[in-house]
Amino acid sequence: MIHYFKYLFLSIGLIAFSSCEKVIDLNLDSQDPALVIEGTVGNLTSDQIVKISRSVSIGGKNEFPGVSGATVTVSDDQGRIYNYTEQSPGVYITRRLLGTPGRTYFLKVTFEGKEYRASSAMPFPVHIDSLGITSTTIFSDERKSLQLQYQDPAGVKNCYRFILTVNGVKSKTIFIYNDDFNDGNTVNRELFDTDIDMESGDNAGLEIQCIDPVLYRYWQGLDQNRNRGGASTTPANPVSNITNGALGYFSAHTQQMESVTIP
Amino acid sequence: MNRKVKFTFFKRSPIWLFCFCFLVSQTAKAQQQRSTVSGIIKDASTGETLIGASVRLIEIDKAASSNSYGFYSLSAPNGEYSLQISYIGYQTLTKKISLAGKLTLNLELASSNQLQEVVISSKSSNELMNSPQMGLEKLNMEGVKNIPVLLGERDVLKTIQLLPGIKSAGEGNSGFYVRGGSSDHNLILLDEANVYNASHLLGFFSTFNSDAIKDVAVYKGGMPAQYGGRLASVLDIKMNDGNSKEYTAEGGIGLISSRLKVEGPLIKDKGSFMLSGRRTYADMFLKLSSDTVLNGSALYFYDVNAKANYEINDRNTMYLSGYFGQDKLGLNKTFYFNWGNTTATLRWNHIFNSKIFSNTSLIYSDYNYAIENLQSGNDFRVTSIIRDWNLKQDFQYFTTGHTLRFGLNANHHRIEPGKISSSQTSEVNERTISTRNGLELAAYISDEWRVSDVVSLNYGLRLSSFALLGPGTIKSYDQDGNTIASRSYDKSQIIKHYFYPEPRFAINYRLAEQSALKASVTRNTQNLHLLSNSSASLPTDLWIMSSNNVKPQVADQAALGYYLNFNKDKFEFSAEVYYKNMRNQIDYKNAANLRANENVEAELLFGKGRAYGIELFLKKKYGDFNGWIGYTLSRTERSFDGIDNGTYFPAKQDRTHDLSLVAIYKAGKRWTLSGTFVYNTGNAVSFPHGKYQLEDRTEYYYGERNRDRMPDYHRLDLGATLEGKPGKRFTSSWTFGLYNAYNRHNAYTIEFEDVPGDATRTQAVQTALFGIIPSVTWNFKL
Repeated sequence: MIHYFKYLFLSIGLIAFSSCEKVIDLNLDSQDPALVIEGTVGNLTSDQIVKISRSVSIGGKNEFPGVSGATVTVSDDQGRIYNYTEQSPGVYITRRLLGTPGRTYFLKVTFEGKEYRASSAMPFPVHIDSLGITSTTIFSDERKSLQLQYQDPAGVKNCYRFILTVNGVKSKTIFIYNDDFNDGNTVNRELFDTDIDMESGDNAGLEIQCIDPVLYRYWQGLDQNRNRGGASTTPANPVSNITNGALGYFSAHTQQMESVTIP
Repeated sequence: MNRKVKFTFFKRSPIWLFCFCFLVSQTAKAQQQRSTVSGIIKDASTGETLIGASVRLIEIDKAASSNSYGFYSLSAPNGEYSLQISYIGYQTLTKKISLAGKLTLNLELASSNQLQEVVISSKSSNELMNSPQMGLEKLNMEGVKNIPVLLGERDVLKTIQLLPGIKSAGEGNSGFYVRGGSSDHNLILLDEANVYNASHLLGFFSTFNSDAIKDVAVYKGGMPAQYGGRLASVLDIKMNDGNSKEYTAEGGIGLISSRLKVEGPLIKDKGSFMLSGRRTYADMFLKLSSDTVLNGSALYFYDVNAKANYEINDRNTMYLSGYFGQDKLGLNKTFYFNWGNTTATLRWNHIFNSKIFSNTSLIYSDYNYAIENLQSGNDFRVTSIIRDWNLKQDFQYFTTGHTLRFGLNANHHRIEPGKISSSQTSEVNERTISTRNGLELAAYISDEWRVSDVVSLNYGLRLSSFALLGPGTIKSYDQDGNTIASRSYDKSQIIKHYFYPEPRFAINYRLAEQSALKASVTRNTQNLHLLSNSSASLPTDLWIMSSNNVKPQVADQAALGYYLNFNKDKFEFSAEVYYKNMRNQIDYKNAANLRANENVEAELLFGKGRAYGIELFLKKKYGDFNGWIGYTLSRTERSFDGIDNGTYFPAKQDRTHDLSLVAIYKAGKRWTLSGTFVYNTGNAVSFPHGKYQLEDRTEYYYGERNRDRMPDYHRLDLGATLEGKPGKRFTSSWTFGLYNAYNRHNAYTIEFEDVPGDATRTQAVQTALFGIIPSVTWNFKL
């Protein structure tokens, strides 16, 4: 529904007015680097990763230094503790943790005397029943997009995140949904990314995650910062489930991998 | 707790009332053998009542002005006088009167066709110098015609934004900010009816069709006690009554819209009607497209203003007026989005006697929208309504030295935030967000008192009460937004009640013949709040009422002003300073969900605000060359516990400098040239100062709220009007406009992204909405 809004905005703009874009120089001062923690627990493999890095200033290069020397552990609500080892600078892994739906996981990162904690409950999985391609014509331009169907379980709050990959390149669009409007129904979702043109023969890969509602809100916050079309909210750092001011998130989610060749 | 406050107040309030009665009776006693002249002032050619015309007894320099219905009343010792009636754009009329006993004198003023050459006596600005009212601006609808606007669509909302202290919410947005207020802090009235969404086409145009408008007054401070319910300003718009002398039609054909107005007598000199309509046709261009989605799409609005009045007798007049507007956006048989306002006002003016004027109004106002998705499988329809039934009783009592206003107001609000319906086969579930009912009750009294030749006062009190009424289930929430308690209420049961006394005080001190000092202190409260966490105003923005979770917003404002007329009244200068303190302001939690959310109140943050500034205003009122310069230096800040630990941050609309220049030049008999220039400091925004990586994406790291600025905004608009040859029954004119004449690319949004082709760096991309836009409109009148 939201992207219809955008077309309408766009059509007003195109018909009556001349809008124009240009790159500008804002000269923004830099901000003290912040610790960024990105940790996930999935249910497909027993390899789990926690990445720790730092933010850089906006004018700098997109090179994000890994943070070495942190102590990383994840425990679950059964009292099991998994110790992570640093595989490369800033990348901490364990090879023994296969996530179990319904269980809550607790992250603890200790670095330079500070402790960062987070918890996330892995929801029960919802499987994608079918995957297809739809095409939409906007301004005489035919666009193909991935469409998927699933049965939302009734009576529980379900949140979904989809990660789209086309020919190995990850879409930058954040696809998150919940069941506020369609609890318990067969749901169709169209994954529409204006930046990716899908052609016949392309390979589209899809990771389907069932996420914790807390993480849904986190992704929502992140997505609002990048909303285009002039109807954006005041941008701010999304509320992280990690304590002590760290950026990033810790998410325990279920996973399902699918792929399809564009006809 | 509340009960106690109320009780102590009522204990005190009779003292107030007593003071009023005492003052009035004392003054009445002292003046015996006085008589009153009263009546209605009208335009001689159309029979339209004239609002704010000045009436003066020359010999004793006593003056009054006509009220919103053209009624005036003046009392003086018995004797012979010259009564002078003047009004901007009209020939001044002087009449000999003999005052001995009650005198009813209805007057008609002939319009002076050449507005710029009106000769107005040096006392015409009497009202500015004598009235304690400050922060009030009135628009002359004839003047508005000459001001260039986007696409030639005359727009009072855009024009008032050229006044100091009133700031535009931005391009493509009809909203405005007054003295640090938010856009929902403005009370927008069309013939007394509240207009909830004053914009068309997502904000590019306003709902007010200039053809149908007679009078526009904006109060940005010193709000008189008869107005209430909003914090920052009152925009009081009155529709034309309709020509009671003859039938006329006028209209115009523009680039994106056409308009037509017809008016005439129902019964000559007894009643008249006015009907005015407008429709845009931006979607005609869509029809030309070969794209099947586009050429089957709708994108237009229309609106209709209608009014009729009937003078039953000298003492009773009835008015019925209404507005109906609709916006329609639609994508070929898949998606529709319609919204619109409907208002209706039924009024009864009753003149009890030469001193007491009464107006009774029954007002209906409705704003609704509907979104419809027809795609099979996930079809749905969302509807939302906000509806008011409002009963108002106002009295004006004119007595020597005093004008008393008092009245009562009961306004019932009903908000249906969203009803989602869908077909059997749709994946969307049917759901209704709970309806809310509320009752606003207000009583007010104020006295404008001419204490002496140099001092006048306007003091008053508005008692405002709000009750959130059942039925409904009301929840309360903890800090994190989790429901901690829930309680159900029956129909009409009071869920939550608030009571606020709102004192209003203003004083005028006349320094010299042509200069005055004024000061005012006012309190305003607001019980309906607009939730919008998006930078663009959308028709779907949600209105909510005060409740157990949401307290009424309160603003206290103090202002001081200096006013000067000089150069034979050709120039007017004013300087006003203000300080405003606001409580219970609303902001949003991060990633707040305001859409179809039963627990929307849990998404809100409550805090405070402050705003202060100085407004300088220099007008050249008459002459072939006229116009004004307005400049505002101001600061607007907000503070919320949930944002940056409660430190004050600049509100989005905090613009340090704001300058507007308006110039109109009458070049010869038929040409009028005009230009406006605006400059303002860019809005306060939050830019990222850092970045980090999640998965493979670059995410942006934000610091404190709104510490950055958009680039400065400036724009020059030019206009020219060519009037047809005068003196004919059928006249026509051409209006040419050039919006953004030097094609400045003002920043509408600034987005950050990886440099295309070089993912190691970040760039900021600015989008401008409008470049240079010419327009032409042909207007006719017969």
